Amino acid sequence: MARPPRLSRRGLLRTVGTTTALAACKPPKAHEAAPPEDVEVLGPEPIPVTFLLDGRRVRAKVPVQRTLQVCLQEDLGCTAPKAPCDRGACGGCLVRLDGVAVPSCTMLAADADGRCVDTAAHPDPPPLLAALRRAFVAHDAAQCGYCTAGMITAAWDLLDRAPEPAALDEAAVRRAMAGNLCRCGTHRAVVRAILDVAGRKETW
Amino acid sequence: MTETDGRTLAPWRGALRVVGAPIDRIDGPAKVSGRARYTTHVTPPGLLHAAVARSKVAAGTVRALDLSGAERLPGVRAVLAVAVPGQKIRFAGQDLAAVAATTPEIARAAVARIEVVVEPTPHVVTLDGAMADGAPRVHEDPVQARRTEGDDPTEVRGGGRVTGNVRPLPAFEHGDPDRAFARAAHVHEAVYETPVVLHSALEPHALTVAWDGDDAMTVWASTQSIFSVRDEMASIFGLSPERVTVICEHMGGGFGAKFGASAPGSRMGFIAGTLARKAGAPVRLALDRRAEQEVTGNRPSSRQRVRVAADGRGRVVALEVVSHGTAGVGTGAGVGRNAAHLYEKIPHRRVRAHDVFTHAGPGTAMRAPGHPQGAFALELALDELAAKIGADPLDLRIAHDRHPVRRREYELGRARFRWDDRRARARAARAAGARVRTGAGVAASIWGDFGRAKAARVTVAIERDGSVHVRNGVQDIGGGIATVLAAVVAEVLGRPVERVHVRYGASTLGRSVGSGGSQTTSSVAPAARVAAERARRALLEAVAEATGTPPGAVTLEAGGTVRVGPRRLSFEDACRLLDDDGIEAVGQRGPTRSDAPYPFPGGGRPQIGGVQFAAVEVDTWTGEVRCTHLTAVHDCGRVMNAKAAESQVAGGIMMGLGFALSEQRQVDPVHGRVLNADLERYKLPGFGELPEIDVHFVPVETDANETGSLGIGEPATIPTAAAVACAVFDALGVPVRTLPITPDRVLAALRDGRAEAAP
Ligand code: FES
Ligand code: FES
Repeated sequence: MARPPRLSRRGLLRTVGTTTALAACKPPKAHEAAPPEDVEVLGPEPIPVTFLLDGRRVRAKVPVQRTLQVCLQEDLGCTAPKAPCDRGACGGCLVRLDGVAVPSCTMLAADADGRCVDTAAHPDPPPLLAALRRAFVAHDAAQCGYCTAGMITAAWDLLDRAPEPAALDEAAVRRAMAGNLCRCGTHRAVVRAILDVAGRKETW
Repeated sequence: MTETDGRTLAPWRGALRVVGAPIDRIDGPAKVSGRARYTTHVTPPGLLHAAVARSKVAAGTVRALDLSGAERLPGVRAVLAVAVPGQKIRFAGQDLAAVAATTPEIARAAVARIEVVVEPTPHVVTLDGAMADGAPRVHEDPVQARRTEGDDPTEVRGGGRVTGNVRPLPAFEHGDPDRAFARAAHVHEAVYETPVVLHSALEPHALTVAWDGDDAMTVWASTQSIFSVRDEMASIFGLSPERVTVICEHMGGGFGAKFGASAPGSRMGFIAGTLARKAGAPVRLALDRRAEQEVTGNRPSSRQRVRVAADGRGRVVALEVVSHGTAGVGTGAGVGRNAAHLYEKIPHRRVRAHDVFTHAGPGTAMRAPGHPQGAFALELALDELAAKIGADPLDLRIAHDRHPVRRREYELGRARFRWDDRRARARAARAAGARVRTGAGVAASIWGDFGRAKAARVTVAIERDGSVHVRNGVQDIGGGIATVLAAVVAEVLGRPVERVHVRYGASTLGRSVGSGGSQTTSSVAPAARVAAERARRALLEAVAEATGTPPGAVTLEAGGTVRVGPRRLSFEDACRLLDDDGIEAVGQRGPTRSDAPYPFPGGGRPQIGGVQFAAVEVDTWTGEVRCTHLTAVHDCGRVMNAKAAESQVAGGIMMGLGFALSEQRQVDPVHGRVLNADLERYKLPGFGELPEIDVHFVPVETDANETGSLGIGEPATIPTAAAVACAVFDALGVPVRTLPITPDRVLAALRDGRAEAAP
């Protein structure tokens, strides 16, 4: 039996309050990247992971090879990130990991340990996320809705990290969203919804 | 009762309060907050995950199966041989065996341990290869066409005798084309090709089966037709359909590939149901992307030899299309109605289509089966003829079309799109030999109203607390039918849309239609209106009785106020007068009562028109094509929800752009496998391809059904690729006759054009 893995970041998470951990969910600056910690061999048994999901601490025991997307869906009942392509090509599974949008299908659940994962399903949405949701409904930017949570996450990431959201023009929005696929053809509505929110910062 | 009977209910006239306004989707909040539950989000206790071992070869014979490796893997709860020794393999991806395990990871690992010996035999995956003498035969036995609710129900069925791999489809002939071609002043003839394209719904096919004893089951399915899932599961397992409950709360797109419990190329219903029975636990079978692209259907390819002829006065006199296409091992490579019926003033017309069998996953209906392919070849050929005789493509179309609404749509589009300007600018850039050219093209759609009588039973209930409920077992595939139900009932009862609660997406909520043939709205919305009118009447009668007022003196005013003689009651107060059961009324749609404004071929139902104008920009150095502007002018009877209708059209356009510019399935001829069964090498149109889209609806009042609503899902995508191809021809002066119009093809067309132009 391998001895139970001990991840110091998880320990850290346990000791600090949710608020502090959330505050840590700001996008990291390049020079702040943490140095690698002690690497331990995990598996083959299911391994425990703990992270902040939409501001709440969650735990799961997952097969080592389980992706974060599967963990969110199967272990944690989070229905926002889907896996349309399951290989990093469509954006349907986007989550914000420590404040940066990443595909959860190409990342191991184990790698989310001790980190902050935010999804479009956030139960207490920050004002920007709430504004995006409203705008997506108003512009009819969800048809079948399967791509929608990914679209919203990408848009959230874009506007949250843009130095000046109101300065974003249509071309910039289209460029930023190019990694998100939609088969129902909601693209025009999505662009309108994002520009609408970007231009009304006072509402968020 | 007669007043509200489906057959005699007076059609709506003029503007309405709710119906037709831009209405937010009722399922919008669930979708944008990521809370909407799709099939793979349903987790009954003890759920097992299935995976399927699929053939890696395209043709062969199964010799042996060894499932023991999978059986031994801890966590595996059931294994199933789907193929048996001696069975023929006809396409890569075909079902061989399946497992159910406690986690998806174990299920995948177990599948990797299944050993199946397949003795390969020669395969053929290309059209030419399959039509060549001595080509390997794909089917030895007569072929049964698989039809779904996605197919045009009025299409002539059957096929001729199969020769080699070629199966002729029922031919269409009008007039005497041979004679007309022989006498014509101008004839244009060329070959046009379209590739196999993939539905690529973002949610792959998925099905969860939970047995309840041995004679009942609950099935959660990502489907376009809840009742076809129910009926197929009942027939596979010998159950009474009443004992099969099917649920589809939300689904992530189908586009024609999601009818029945199984996918066109995978026996999903049988596999999930059998594994669940064997394991004694619920089983979820969710396909991965590779399987989704390889075995769940596709739009067949086409190679169309088109001949069009004009007389000395510029009238098109004859049209002939002879087409061959492959739906893989399946059938359905016809090219739709466009050539046969769109330009009815062309006196002599002939269409002959053929299925060519190849060793590839079966085709199936895909958003307007046959039509986008047919439109592309027909419209580009017409433009080439127009160029030869010096005619304006738009004038030429109007001159040969009898549909009054479509003719009007052409004229509206001409102005909105600034057709004459754009054509003039294209001419100037061409003449100047500019590097970046622009072009303008136009194409049309033909579709029928396939709404059906009595196909849906909608229930409207009014409770004592004043709440209004609508129930029907229809699935909302993204077209927004649930919101339409709310709107229709809100309209009749004078309520705000938000106050009408809709339950849908389960077979227990009342019979409904499949979402194919663009018939959902025209089948279900009328039934909702009939039910709501009955509920309204019952409410007024109950209020009259409770207040001792003569029935005629109780009326419902706009806004939901109930007038009782001189008194006014709020809707809620009126409902308090009901007894405990409240009111429950059921409605069904009556038969199609009118084919106005213009009949679909064969009569008895309206024909839906629609035209699209495309503007493109082509870089003649790089060969890159961009669609910059798309004007879409459509009709669908009375629009039920302006927002959703516009979204349908914008979505159809995006899908059409993919067909025009980027999508094609690539099959390796050596290995017979799909090379781009994924979403990075199979190129869906995206934000980069989004043109400026201008959608305009021509309102049509038709008495075809109780709400006057017709379909729009399919018409919206029919003309797009054709219009783009015509625009590219306008930009270059030479046609690109093969879709998708990729840079290499543009450059090749320019080179060939220069070669032709050289003395
Ligand atoms: S599922 Fe992760 S990018 Fe497509
Ligand atoms: S809304 Fe259906 S895939 Fe985007």
